[in-house]
Amino acid sequence: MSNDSVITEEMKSMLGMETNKVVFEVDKTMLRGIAEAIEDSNPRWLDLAAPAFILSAMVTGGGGKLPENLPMNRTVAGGGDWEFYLPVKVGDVITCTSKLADIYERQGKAGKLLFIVTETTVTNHRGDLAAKGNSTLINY
Amino acid sequence: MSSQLFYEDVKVGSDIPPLTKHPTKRQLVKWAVASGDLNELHYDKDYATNLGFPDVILHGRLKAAFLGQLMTEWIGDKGKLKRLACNYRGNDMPGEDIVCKGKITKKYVQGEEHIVECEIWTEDKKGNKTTPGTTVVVLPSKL
Repeated sequence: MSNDSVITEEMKSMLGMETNKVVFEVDKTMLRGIAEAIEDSNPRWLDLAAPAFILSAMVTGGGGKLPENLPMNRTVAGGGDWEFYLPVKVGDVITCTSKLADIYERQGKAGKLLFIVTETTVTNHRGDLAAKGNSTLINY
Repeated sequence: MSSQLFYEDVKVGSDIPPLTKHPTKRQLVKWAVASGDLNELHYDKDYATNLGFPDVILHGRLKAAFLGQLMTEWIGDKGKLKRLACNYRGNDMPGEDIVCKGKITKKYVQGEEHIVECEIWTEDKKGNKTTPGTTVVVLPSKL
């Protein structure tokens, strides 16, 4: 096992960089789809975004640009951390802006693990920060 | 829906009423479409087995969403979920029930807010905590 870092200068140079930005209107179909998918029958989730909507890939999934040529073959989702500040409702136009927030490495049992953290902020059409999500990918 | 939970009702060390989910392949497809995560690992068995998994696995975010449901059902319509974090530590397969559980770790008043912190996790049938995490909520106060 090597002690050399797998974090390249190219990766470091991407830190803080905006990697994706999507803007869309929250509609009833989206919220119903989420509520039905998780099988939560509380009717409030037809007008108000359930936590599941905020943490879904389409809102805080990051997407967009990631460092190319990751050192290891496999990449999996490692976890997430979401903060909910304001309700998101049907008719809100939200802007989901992602940036590469952190890259770090650990020594795992079978080799190096590279953690790539994307932070996404969710802002509504009034300009208020409604939510924030950090998603970690693990390359191993 | 049960009656509204209040800050005064909760005790550090107590358990959150568990929520059992019965994920199916159909549910994974519905979540894939609704949430915008079309990674084949969650609906294409050949793709999953080529990566070394025995079958398709649940999306980590779906399990996080189940934990969100655990919390919103518990805190009721007047409670507020402030934060939820979890690690996708173990794999769960469709066709196997998972139970969302939690324990209250801390309660305090900060400014106007009556805050409760909890440890949360999903548990598989062997008792493994496959999605361990933490959460912070605000509850209404009776006072």
